[in-house]
Amino acid sequence: MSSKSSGLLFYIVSRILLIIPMLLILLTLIFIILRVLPGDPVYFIVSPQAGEHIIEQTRHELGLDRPIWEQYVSYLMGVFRGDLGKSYITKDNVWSIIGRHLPITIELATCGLFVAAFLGISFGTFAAYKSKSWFGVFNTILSTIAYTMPVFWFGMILQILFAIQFRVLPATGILDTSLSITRITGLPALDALITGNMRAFVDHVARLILPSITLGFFISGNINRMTHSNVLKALNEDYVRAARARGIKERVILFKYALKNSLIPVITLLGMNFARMLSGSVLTETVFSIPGMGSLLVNSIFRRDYPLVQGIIVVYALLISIVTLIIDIIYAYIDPRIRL
Amino acid sequence: MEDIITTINVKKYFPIKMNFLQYLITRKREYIKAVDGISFSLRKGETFTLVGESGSGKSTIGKLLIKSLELTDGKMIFEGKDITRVKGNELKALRRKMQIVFQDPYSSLNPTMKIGDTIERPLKIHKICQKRKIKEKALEMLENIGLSPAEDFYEKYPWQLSGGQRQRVAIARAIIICPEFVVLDEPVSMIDVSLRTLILDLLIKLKQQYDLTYLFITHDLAIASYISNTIATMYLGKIIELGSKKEVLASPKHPYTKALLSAVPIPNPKMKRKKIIPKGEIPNPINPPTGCRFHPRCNYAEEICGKKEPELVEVSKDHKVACHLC
Amino acid sequence: MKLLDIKNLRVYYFSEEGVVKAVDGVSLSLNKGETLGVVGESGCGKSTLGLSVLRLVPYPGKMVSGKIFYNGIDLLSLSDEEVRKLRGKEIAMIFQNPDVSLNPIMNIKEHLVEAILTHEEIDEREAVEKTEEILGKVGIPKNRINDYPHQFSGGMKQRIMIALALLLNPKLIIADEPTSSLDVLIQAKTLELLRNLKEEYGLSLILITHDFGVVFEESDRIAVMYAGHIIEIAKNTELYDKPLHPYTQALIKAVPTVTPEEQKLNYILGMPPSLLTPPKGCRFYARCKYAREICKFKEPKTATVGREHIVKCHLY
Repeated sequence: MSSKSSGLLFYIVSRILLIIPMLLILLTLIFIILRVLPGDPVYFIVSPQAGEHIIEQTRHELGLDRPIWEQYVSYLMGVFRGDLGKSYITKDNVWSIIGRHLPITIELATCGLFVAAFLGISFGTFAAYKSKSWFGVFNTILSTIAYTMPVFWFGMILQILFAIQFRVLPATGILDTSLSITRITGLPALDALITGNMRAFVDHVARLILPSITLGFFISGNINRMTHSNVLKALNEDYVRAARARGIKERVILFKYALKNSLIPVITLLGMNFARMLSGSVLTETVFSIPGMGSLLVNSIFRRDYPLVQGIIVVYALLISIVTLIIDIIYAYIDPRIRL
Repeated sequence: MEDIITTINVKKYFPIKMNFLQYLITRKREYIKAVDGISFSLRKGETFTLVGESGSGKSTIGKLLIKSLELTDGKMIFEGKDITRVKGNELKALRRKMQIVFQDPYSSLNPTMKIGDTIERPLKIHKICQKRKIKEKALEMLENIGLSPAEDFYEKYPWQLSGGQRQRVAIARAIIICPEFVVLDEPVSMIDVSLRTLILDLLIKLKQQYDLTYLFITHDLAIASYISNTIATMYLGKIIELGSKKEVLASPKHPYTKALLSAVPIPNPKMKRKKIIPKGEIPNPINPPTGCRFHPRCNYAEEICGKKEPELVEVSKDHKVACHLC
Repeated sequence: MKLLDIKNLRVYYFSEEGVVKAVDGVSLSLNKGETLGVVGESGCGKSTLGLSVLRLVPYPGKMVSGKIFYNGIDLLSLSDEEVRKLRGKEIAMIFQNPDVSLNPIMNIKEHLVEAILTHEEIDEREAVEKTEEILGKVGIPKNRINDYPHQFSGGMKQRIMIALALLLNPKLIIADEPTSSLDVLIQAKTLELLRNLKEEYGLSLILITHDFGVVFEESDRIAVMYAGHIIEIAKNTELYDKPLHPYTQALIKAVPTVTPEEQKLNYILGMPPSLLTPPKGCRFYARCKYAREICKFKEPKTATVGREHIVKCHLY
């Protein structure tokens, strides 16, 4: 066991060290792309009709009159000191802007992940168990739809159905305008619970349902297919046949032998899907007008708010690295054969 | 008879995969010592059989001899020439003279190629004969290995053939370019009992026809006793006994060879023997036991066995053993 | 007294290419305390026969007709749940490849304890004690009880499989090629262990194998299978001295043995027929050197020659 945990420590340290060059490449790329993109950030702050010297002065204040390489170096230095700079538009610190939006996206992503895992794993397992029945065929169609449909389209269909047609759920936003939540942790649902604000909690949760289903259904397609094929494969393994020959109950065989063994790759898939989840949340947040990281990213790109875009990308990259690392560690502990 | 191939103290170590950081900290590479100092010669025209359990290193030797693995240490001489570090065109010319047949006829043939193409390919690669004679030669070969009518088999795909027929194709593919030396790595262990002898007899026939020398690798002593001229027993990367078939089978000397021979089930209910089974299992080839590698499992082990590694020495004509007590 | 009695069993696989008649009218019985060897080449239906006794024939296989009596109970008339309760408790099975027969994410203790608690109402502590006892019998040390399958060698895994099979004191064990993936020394050790435990527990054993050496060393009686049929059954020495069926005769002469002398061996030309479209007459007809006109058109009946020597051939 000790060799396993020391191996694990090595693994974690080397993975964390690898994040540094990855961030460097990513930041360089995004830095170049933003500057190649047409549109001058200055004109999003002052009107193009303003006087020449006002424009020049703004440009100077933002540091955009310095040579590109100088901007690049000073930005990188800032990042490695932990300073992401200030937003061009609001002049707020990028960290504090992200701090306001990130918890909302985390809340949405977590709910989406649960929906995806629940839908994908339960449907996939059942379809594998009943692969010779109509449910198998139905599930194949369902997972293909989930995998291929455009997220914003599905989101709008849900809005039309549940918010406009049946009026059972609110269509947009995260909270009714008449309500407010005192900010403690930043996660609205948690804050509402802590402060005992039940009305706000119920309203907020109701508004999370459609976006979570949209995002979760989108991700579930992948998980569904993977679970299906893995459980099917596991049910044909020799150790399953041997377990049947010992009289082990079918229920135990399905869950303890087939599903548990299949979940190992499925968990990896969940981790790999985290990136897809973030990109899915950009679209979901836009459709449902949710003030999370996704809509923040879209807005800041539109306004050529370079520091904010770069900051969001850094946070996304860090999030993905951490999540995949955690998934790998979980993997090592579930599967006794893996020694990292 | 002259020697066709000689190995001198050949070693093959496989490094164990390690994380870069693990390496930085431990600063020690570990190796699987698959083949650990082996010397022997194959006489031209003989069938030299390596027997041993899985993990003894017998397949690794086969791959080393046909140069599909680089040796870690030692020397190899083929037809009087040192081929230890041969490269480039010289290696290609050598490859024509050395061929291998693998155990699994289901994975060793390309499923998208017709049997005819499979057999002709080596002729084309090595440019052995004139273009217009290639097909003629392939058909002749198919007939020779008993796949007739040859025209029919020429057009077939591997999936249309039985395991025994596929293995015959794999043998034909190796032999059609008239090599000098063929490694047969468990060529019949996946073939059904009723057809094994057919394949073995075919191999014997081809050996005479084409003047071949075989290195035959098997875990099955009954098959070894059917086909071999010389038998070498391997244990943990070492040859521990080597001799003519008659010598080794009639009077085995090494306790491990004796155990192997006694353990083979005999298809004759009237021959009951006492089986001598050594204790334990083959140890890890990363850190093999000191001295004689078999001593921790040997019933006769004495003090010296744990201290000094026994040499492979001649005990009688055509019979060498690596054991302190023989 | 007969422990197992299979009567005219037919097991077919309804595959996309057609109906594969893997077991096609097999009758066989097993006496209490006996080791019955079932020997045959790959694809002859011997594994399917073994699986049918536990009703474990996989999809798209089906038991089409026939009866299997275990201790007088017709196994084919039982419900799925009733059969499940018999599996492991009354009849246990050992499979060919121990490397893939254990759940890779469960340790050895979990495997054994789970099997005990499935069939017996005892508390977990007692189950663990029982587990340690049986592992001791197959030579797995106590301190390895929490190890996972990949930490054991192939031979040890097969001993664990034997422990799992013997755990609940079954009366019958079906061993399907139990040693063919093992090296010769480990094979000898495993067979010896199985033989000793069979004596100790008073078991009956069906040993399915392709290896004539193993079958002659271990069995009291031997049944030879060819292309879905049992073509000969006889006592061990009787089969060796007087094989009646031309296939058995040829096969015995085809098996090499360990000897310094020159051996003259036989082989059988051709292949077994496809079980999708088995021939109407004798299935060995195309490869038989004694074949006559009748063999081509009429399936031979089983004849009893002498004491308990059964053969399915027109010559008798």
